[in-house]
Parts: sequence; C-alpha cells; structure tokens
Amino acid sequence: MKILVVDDEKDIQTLFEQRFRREIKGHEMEFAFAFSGEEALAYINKHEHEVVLILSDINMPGMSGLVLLEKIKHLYAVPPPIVMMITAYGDSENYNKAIQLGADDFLTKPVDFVLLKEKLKHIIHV
Amino acid sequence: MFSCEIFALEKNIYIHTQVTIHNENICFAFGLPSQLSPRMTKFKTMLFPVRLKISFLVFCTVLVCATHAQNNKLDSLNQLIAKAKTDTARINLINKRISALSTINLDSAIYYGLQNLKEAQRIKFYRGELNARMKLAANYCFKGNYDAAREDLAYLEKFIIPGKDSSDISDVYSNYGLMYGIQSKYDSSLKFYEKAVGINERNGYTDKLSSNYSNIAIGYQQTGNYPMALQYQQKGLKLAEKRNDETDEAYLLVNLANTYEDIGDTLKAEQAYLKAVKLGIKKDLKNVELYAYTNLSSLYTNLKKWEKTYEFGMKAAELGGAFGDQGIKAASLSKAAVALANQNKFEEAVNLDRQAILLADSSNQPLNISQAYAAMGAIFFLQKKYTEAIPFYEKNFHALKGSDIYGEGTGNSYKELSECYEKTGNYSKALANFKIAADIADSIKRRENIRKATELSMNFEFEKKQEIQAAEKKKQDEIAQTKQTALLVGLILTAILALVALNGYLHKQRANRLLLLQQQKTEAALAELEAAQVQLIQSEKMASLGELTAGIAHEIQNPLNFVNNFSEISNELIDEMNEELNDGNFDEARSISKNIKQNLEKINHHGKRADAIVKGMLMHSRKNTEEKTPTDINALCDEYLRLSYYGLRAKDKSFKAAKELDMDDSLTPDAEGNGKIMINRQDIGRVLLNIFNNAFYAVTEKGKTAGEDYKPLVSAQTKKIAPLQGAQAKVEITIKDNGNGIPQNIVDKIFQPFFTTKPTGEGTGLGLSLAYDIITKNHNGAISVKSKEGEGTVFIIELPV
Repeated sequence: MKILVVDDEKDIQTLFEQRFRREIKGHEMEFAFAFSGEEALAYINKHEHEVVLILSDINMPGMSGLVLLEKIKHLYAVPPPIVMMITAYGDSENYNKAIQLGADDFLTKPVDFVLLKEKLKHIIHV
Repeated sequence: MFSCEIFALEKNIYIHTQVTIHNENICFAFGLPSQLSPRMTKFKTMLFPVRLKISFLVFCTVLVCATHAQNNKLDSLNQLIAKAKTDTARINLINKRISALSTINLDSAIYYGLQNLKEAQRIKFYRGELNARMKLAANYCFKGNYDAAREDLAYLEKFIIPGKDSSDISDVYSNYGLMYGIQSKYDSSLKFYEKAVGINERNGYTDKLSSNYSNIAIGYQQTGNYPMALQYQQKGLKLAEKRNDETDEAYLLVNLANTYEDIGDTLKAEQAYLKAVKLGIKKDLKNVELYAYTNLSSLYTNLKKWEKTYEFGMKAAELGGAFGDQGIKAASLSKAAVALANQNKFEEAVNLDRQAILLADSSNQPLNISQAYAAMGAIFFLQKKYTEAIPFYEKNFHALKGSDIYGEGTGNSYKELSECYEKTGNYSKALANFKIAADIADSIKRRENIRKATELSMNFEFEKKQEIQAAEKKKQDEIAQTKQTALLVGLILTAILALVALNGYLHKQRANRLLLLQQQKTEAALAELEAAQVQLIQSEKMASLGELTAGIAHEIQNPLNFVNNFSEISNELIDEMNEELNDGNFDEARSISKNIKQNLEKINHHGKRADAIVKGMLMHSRKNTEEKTPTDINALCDEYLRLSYYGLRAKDKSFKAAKELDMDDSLTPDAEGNGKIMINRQDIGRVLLNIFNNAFYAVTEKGKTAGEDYKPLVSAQTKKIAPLQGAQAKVEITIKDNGNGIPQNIVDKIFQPFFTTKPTGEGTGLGLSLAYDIITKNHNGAISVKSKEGEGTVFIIELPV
C-alpha cells in the first residue's frame, strides 16, 4: 500500500516518516512524497498502479491541490486512487469545491495524526 | 540705445535701469562692492526672516568680466576724447566714458559726472547736460545717496523740454523706480515704473520695456505677489525674445527662475536657470552664469541631488574666485563639501570645507562664516561623529548671533545639533536645540502654505483676468460705436460715455470683490485638504497593515504546526529510547536519539521562522523612524513577495498565481554584511508590498476572463548596476506581472494621489503616490512603469547605493 503525500513544505516528509515510523518499519504502509502538484502528477504517471491513496494539500504555488484532484479523477479513470484533501481551518469554500471534484475524504489543518492513522488503517483493511 | 545697469538683490535678482544717450548703443553690467550694505540687510530681514539666501555674494561679481571689456573701451574712448575737435563732441564722449566707468568705480564716475555737467552748463549744451545728470542720478542710487539722486531727478523733470523727447522723461521715471526699488519702497517704485511703461508702450520704445517689466516684477516678487511677478517676467521675456535681445533674456530668465523657485515649481526653475546659463555663456555674461550656478547649486541641495549640487557649487566657486569674491567662493565650496559628504566622500569633503572656512573667516561676513561651519558640522554628523560635529554647529550659530537672520538650512542645523547632543547624552541641550528647530520648521511651514495657496489661486486669477480683459475689450468696442453715433447727437454721447464708464467701473469693482472672496475660499479649502490628506496617509498605512495581517496569520500557521508535531513526536521518542535502554538495545537507542536531535533542530528552525514573521509585522506597524539601515534587499523582496502572496490567498480562496524570484547574488550579504544597501526598510517594504499587491490583483482580474491556458505569474528581479562614467552605482528592482496591463490613457496618472482603478472602498488611491514619494524624495531613486494592455505591467525601481 503506497501513499503519496503532496505538500510544498518539505519538512512534511520527516514529519510523516516519524509519525508513521512503526507502520513503515512493519511494512504496513509505504510513503512517497511530492512537493508540488506537477511533481505529484509526474510521480503517478511513472508509478501508475502502485499508488493507492493520495494525500494532498490545497494551497500550493503552481498547480493547486484542487487542480491536481481534478486531473487525477479525470485522467486515471480505472480505478482512480483514493484522494484525501487537507484544507485550512474553516475554509468551507475549498471544502465544497473539493467535494464537487470528487475528493474521497478531508482533513483540516492542523492535521490530527491519530485520526489520520485510523482512517488510513481503515482504508487499508477494507 | 541704452545702457543697462544691473545689480542683484536677494537671491540674485537683477534690477535694470536704462539711461538713453545719443548715438550710443552699449549695454553693460553694473555691480556693487561686495560688502553687505546696510540697506540691503534691512531689505532682507524685513521680507524674508526665515529663508534668507546667502545674498552678499551677489553684489560684486560682474566687476571682473565687465572690467576686462570696459578697460578696452576706456582706452579707445580716451584716445577719441584727446582728438575731439568740438566741445559738444568731447562732452558726449566723456558721458560715454562715465557709463563705462560706472561698472568699475562709482566714485570716479560721480566725480567725472559732476565735472562734465559743469562743462555742459557752461556752454549751454542741452543734450550734454541732460545725459550727464541722468547718469549722475543712477550712480547716486547705486551709491546709496538717495537725496542727491532725488534732487537730480526733480531737476531733470523741469529741465526736459516738454514734448521734445518723451523717452527722456520715461528714463527719469525709470530712475525714480530704481531709486525707490533699491530702498524697498515698492509702492512708489511701481508707480514710477508704470508711468515709464505707459510712455514706452505708447511710443513703441520696446528696447526699454523688457527691463521695465523685469524691474516691476521684482517689486511684486519681493512683496510675495508671485502671480503678478510671473506675469511681468513672462511679458518681458516674450518681448526680449521678439527683439532677439539675448542679454535681457538671460537676466529675465534668472529672475523668472527665482520666482518659480519661490512658488515651489523647481522643475521650471531648473529649466530657466539652465537656459540662462546657456545664454550667459553665449553672450559672455559672467554674472548671469555665476548667479545661475549659485542658485542651481542651492536648488539641487534642496532636491538632495548631490552630484549636481557638487558640480554647480564648484562651477560657482571657480567663477566667484575668478572675480576675486571670497564670499561667493566660500559659500559655494561649503555647498559642494556637503554634497561630497552626502556621497560618503568624507575625506574630500573635509578638505574642501577647510578651504571654505578659511575663506569665510577672512571675508568677515556672518552668513558666510555660519554656512562654512555648519557644513563641517554636517560632514561630521553624516559620519555619526557627533562629538566632533558639536563645536562646528555651535560656531555656526555663534556667527549669526545678534543679526536676527537665518541662513538656508539653519533649521536643519539645529535639528542635527540636537541629535548630536542626544547621542552624546546631553539631553537638556538636545531639547533646547530641538525646540529652536521646531520653531523654525513651523515658520517655514506657514510660508509654505501661503505659497501653495498662491499657486492654487494663480490659475483662478488668470481666468478671472481673461474675463475682465474680454469685458474691457467689449466695452471699448461699444465706446467706438458710441463715438460714431455721437457725431450726430453730441449731447447724448457724453451721457452714454459716462454710463458705460460707470458700468465698467462697477463691473470691475464687483469682479475684484469676487476675486478676493474666491481667494479666501481657496485658501480655506486648501487648509482642509491638507488636514484630510494627513488622515488619508495614516489610513493607507493602517489598510496596508490589515492586508499584511491576513498573510501573516497564514504564514505563521505552518511553522507552528511543525513545532507542535515535532515536539509531540520527540516526547514519544524519548519514551521509546528509555525502553530500548532498559532492554539494553544501545544501537537502537542511539538511532532514536539522533532522530530526537534532528527534531529539536526542526523545532528550532520553525520557531525562528515564526519569530521572523512576527518581527516583520512589528516592524511594519512601528512608527516611521526615518532611519536608513543596511538592508539585505534580496531578503526584503522575498519576504514581501511572500507576504503579499499569502495575504491575498488568505483573503480570496480562489486566488492562484505563481511567484518567481531572480535575485542578484552580489546583493546577498556575505558574513561581514557586504552587499547590504542603505534604505529605510519599512518604507521600501511598504512600496514593494503595494506593487506586489497590485501585480497579484492584475493577474487575478485577468484570470477571471482568460482561458484555461493562462498562467498568472508575478516575478521580482534584483540587479546591481555598476556605475557608468562618474554616475552612482545603483540597485534595480524589476517587478513584472502578466496581468491585464494598464490602459495607455491612465498610465501617466497612477502615481498621482487618490488615483485608483479599484472599486470604491477597495483602495485609498494613495499607495503608489506614497511609493513614488518614498522612492524619489526619501531615497533619491527613481520609479517607472511600463505597461501593455492585455500583456502585463513592469515596475522598475532604482535605488542609489
């Protein structure tokens, strides 16, 4: 199970690697990282069938998370990977837009890692 | 044919006078000895107690150039006088010789004048006597012997045969005008000049009119009636141009430039001075050149254009030195020295001002001495050598003691001295000097307001005058018609004429009353406007703070999330490490401790990031300290580009645009801080924020209508530009967007106050106007804009290094 995390903050990689250190160690989960929408698309193109879940920030320079979501849902029709979006606190506008574009789930900043871990485990076991 | 005698008043103004002499067509300049004469001092202190210019430099300087020319002339005249066959021819020639002498030695000119007068009276030679007496009167005026001048003029009024040559009587009136003008009695001076103008206009003596107009203007200028002064100077200039009299034109241009400077139109003043210099060189009028250089140097000092201040100061010093006038040389060297110091050439500045002090001390003129010492104070002050600066400032004020006059920049000197005392811990003296500086600043500001009001009312008055002129022309037509009818009905004529005249008179009176009322209204409106402007500038500052806050909140959220996350994880990791230690797995424990260390570094990094953001915000809201500090301009561009970007993104969720930075590495400071530039961080930050906000606004607007392919982009570039042939090195900041662009018809207006294209309530319209002031006035830089509709806009800021 490979999870692609998309965020323009580079330290997000260290953070995820430490938060999920047990899961990574136990080969329960595998993470890949992209630091822009463009980078994420390139990665998915290269590893089309590996990526099961994408976790993306919305506010990024260049291609925004919403554009990325739209492209993934349109381009990779069979079957599209699960996409979870991370929105800023109280940003209902982006929330609605993401639903409209077919986002599978949401997280609000600051990310609650206990909740995220449960959600990921649930998805994996389903 | 006239001789034109000139000398300079406050701020190097010329008075012309004309004396007509048969068969003689020379124009020469007249100068007074270089000491401040008592009447000139009075003249100044009465009218301009505050912004007195260093005026003593203007009385003397024509002597050398004139002397050179006049000596040749005297030689040839002496030969002709020796060969003269008749008494009348000899008297005429001696009169010419007196004209030439006037520019070299007033006392001998008067002595020979009296002798020639006696001789002409002995042989009853009308023209000879008239010319001799006319010259005597003018020379007495310049000498300051007004009683003798008045006696001669009164005699001439009776002596001149009525109707014989009206140009003689006009010369008498001009000389009266001169006599009163020199004594600052402008009402009387004006009355006589108007009489002379009347005669000259009626008879078409245009060669005299331009200098008449010029002298009338001086009276108006000195009494603060700038619109009238301008009107007469422009009239005189037009006439001189028409007659191709480049000499008169040059003198008029210098005086006109002074008026422009008085009403605050420095651009026109600069142009007029430069044109005067050109003509002065062409016609070999060294005095015009000298006064223009001196005044230009002061003008550029006010504009803080130091290279030009230096250039013209040195030119004036050189010319002044050539004339043997130490006063003008010292004053000009002082200005040049301050200009050097402002370009950080301190050693050269000190050396130059030492010369100025030596010269000034020997000249024994208080304004001169004060200026030279104040300059040295300023040179040390600029180097932050406060203790050294204090004695020079004090000496400068000491020189002015008891003379109740202020030199240019005196207020500033008090301010700087106050700061010197403050920095060296002498607070009571700092406060005392600060109070004096504040008093002077207040009184300058009052004058400034009056001047602005004048400027505003000028346009209005001009229109009114045109109306009155039109009305008068109409009236004259009516009179002409009435006259024809009157041939038939004689008695009715007088009645109608009287009525028309009365009507005209009443009309004029009404117009005058209206004019006065309107002027008062304009002044009141101006005061209100100024108060409103101060408030608006404050609200612009607050508005830009509000824009920043949204961006800052977003910016600060990310680092805080990292701090929280990494500290939580580290806590867990320590528990895990302890478990491993208890189990004896030291390698595992070591590896965990590495992670903890890494996390602590991350916490520290993001904590600092948040700290920097908060500091930036505080800096923005802090009161303007007007201080320039060494600044990393690349970091500043980066910071404000981000603040603007996140600020807009926080406000508008649909906002999307790319930002790009292209920074010149030579501007990124090294470990010792080389590469930083001296700017007011907060002010330049405000300018950048404003331009970035506009750029993002433009690309967002375009994004609303452009197709899918449109990629909104805002980019900033810095570049250090090496100095070109003596010019200063500078930094160029280019801010580019690919938004909608600015339509051609408004691109010229965007720096005007209150101009905005944003919907009401969204912009104060002061942002770019403030930016313009900050860049050009406070930093001596330049800001320009290039825009193509539909393609985007480029702002270019240039800052001297």
